[in-house]
Amino acid sequence: MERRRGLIVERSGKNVTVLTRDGGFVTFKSSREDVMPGMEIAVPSARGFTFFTWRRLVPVVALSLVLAFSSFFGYQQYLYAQPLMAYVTLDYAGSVELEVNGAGLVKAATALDEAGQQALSSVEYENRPAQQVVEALVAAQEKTSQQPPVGTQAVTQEPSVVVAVVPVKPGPAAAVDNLEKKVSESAAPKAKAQDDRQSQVTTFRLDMETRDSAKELGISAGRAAMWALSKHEAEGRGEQTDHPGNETPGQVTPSQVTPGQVTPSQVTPGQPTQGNETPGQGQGPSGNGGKGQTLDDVKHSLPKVDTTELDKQKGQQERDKYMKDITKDWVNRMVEEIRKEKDSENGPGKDSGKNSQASQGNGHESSPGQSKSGSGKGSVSPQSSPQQGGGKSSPTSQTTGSGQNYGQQTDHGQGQVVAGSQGSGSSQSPSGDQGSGQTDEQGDGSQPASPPATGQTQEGSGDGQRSHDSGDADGHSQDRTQGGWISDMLDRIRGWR
Amino acid sequence: MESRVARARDGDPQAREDLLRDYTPFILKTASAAARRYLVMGRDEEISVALSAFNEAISAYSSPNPGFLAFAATVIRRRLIDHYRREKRKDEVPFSSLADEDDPGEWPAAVEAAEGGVVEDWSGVLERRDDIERWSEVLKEFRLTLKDVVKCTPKHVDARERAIRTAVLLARDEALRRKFLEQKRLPLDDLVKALSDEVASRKTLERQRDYITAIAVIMTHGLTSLAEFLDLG
Repeated sequence: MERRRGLIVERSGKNVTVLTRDGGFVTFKSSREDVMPGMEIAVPSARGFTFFTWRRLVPVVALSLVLAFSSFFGYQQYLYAQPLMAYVTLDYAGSVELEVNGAGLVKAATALDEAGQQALSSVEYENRPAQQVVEALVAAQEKTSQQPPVGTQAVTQEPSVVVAVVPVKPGPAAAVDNLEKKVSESAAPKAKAQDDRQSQVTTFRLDMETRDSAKELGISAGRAAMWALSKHEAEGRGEQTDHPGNETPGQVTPSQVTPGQVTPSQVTPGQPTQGNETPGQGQGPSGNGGKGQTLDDVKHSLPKVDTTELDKQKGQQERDKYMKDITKDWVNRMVEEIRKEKDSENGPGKDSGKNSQASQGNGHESSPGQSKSGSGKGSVSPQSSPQQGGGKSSPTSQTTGSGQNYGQQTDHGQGQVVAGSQGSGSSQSPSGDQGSGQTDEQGDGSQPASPPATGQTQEGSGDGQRSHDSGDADGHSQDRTQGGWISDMLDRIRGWR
Repeated sequence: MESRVARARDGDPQAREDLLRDYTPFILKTASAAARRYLVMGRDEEISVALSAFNEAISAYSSPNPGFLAFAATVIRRRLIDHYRREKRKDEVPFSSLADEDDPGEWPAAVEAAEGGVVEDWSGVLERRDDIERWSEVLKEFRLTLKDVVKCTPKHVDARERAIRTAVLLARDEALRRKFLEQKRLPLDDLVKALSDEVASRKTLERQRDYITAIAVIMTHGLTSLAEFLDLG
């Protein structure tokens, strides 16, 4: 390779400046010590070397850094801009619904109740991975609740976490499966709750139709699925259940009375009766959440359900389809019942002293005007009029939380009805006074005149009230039993007059 | 050069030290040529022998003919031979390869370096070196340094050729030359007029001002070795 030759014009340390024959100057490093100005020297052909000079490299490096940063942020923005992929609902102490996009990031969150709102307010969720948000929400709810969350079951039982994933688009999707797996793993509370309980996570895959239906009830899809499953389990065990939503929480049919259960006759005068129901459960004496739940119960509690058998019997796809079907069915029935309730409230159901009383004891809702939950959430209260025990017309106030009525009704076949609470306020009916005198009659099984109580509406708004519907098919036998008692009472009243 | 050697010989230690430092490349080159290999200072013992020989040449030099460098080169070679004899390194330096070792008056016209294929004519080297030093001094009068000239040198060969032609024109034109030497700067307006037949804008001349000045200095101040090197005619 021919090398250019040049005249050394300057030497400074290792740097040598050379004048070439075409009048150009070249500066390069030379470790040779035997060269000096005035000498000719071969000029290295360092085009390849000098091309990559700092002057040329700096803008390239700067541009590369800018591209790298913009790519990074651009990619972030790309992730954030992914469309909505699925809704994820989390029911623990409260109820929260998350909107998750295709990148698994939470775009929005909605609290479906107060506890959920409280938890959500302490968590940063926007554009965060869904599993992180779920984990944070569970931790927040664990932290804030000193007592077992409202949704927990009896003290001896386990608090449950329910997660539901609702894909926006139907059909199999690996991304949705991955999301479900991650949030399910994240939903297990890290710390053991008090009393050394461990939590159980139940996960469902539902569809938009189920979600929309559950929305009508104001609950999350996961919560609806849990109740639906509980209901079906109860039915499967052959427990008598009225139409869902009709049942009064804690109502016990005569056949359901178990020894030791508190009945009106056992109540010490002056003392309120204690219901057998477990707070927050909305369960009947059987302890199963499958029956007797009101919408209020549904909103504020979660039944205990063991999905082990379900998982064993059905494959994943079958399980999902099964859950969607029963949930839809359950929701539809609940919605229908609520609608009926409202219709009957607005209808001629208010004068139904008979009807209301006739329906007493069979787990039907109290007559309109009789029982209202304090919060007016559609809880069902049994007849308020029947007095329990001595003179006090205050039936058992089993109100928990927002005034759910868990009053039990026991029908001993004598027309006695143990009234549950009527939610907030007094559960006393004006007939309470009457009750005092009628207490004695309770021993007979007679009840104070309910008709006065009929018109004496206890507190609570009418929202969600359910009229005692004597027409309920399931309670026919009970109707007859109580119908006779009611008739007797009516006769007596007429006689008094 | 001769005066410096005289001062050093007369006992000026600083002058001796300056000579040794300034002519170290010459010493290295001569020793490398004598040893037929590239010598590195600090590594090869021949270097110290050569330095010692140069110092001895300073002390011994008296005759102006040949020149001091030729005399010093001879002394260096002889001392190296003595060194090799002492070390008995016959395979490194065959005696037959040493030319004119017994003729102190002979000075090889060209000595090929052991490495790099560099052919050096020391008289020419010294002349060019002197011209380069002079060139730097004159540029200072024009408020320029070699670094400034290197910076503004046109990158393209064509542009450099046009700039050199402009400098030659300036040097050959009496009026322009006078103005240039008097004002110590480039007479741009006159140059633009003088270059009317060529495509040369004032902006281009301003951009290449320092380079044109440096070339014009070579031609106007008799730096013939540099002019010959650049073939400025």
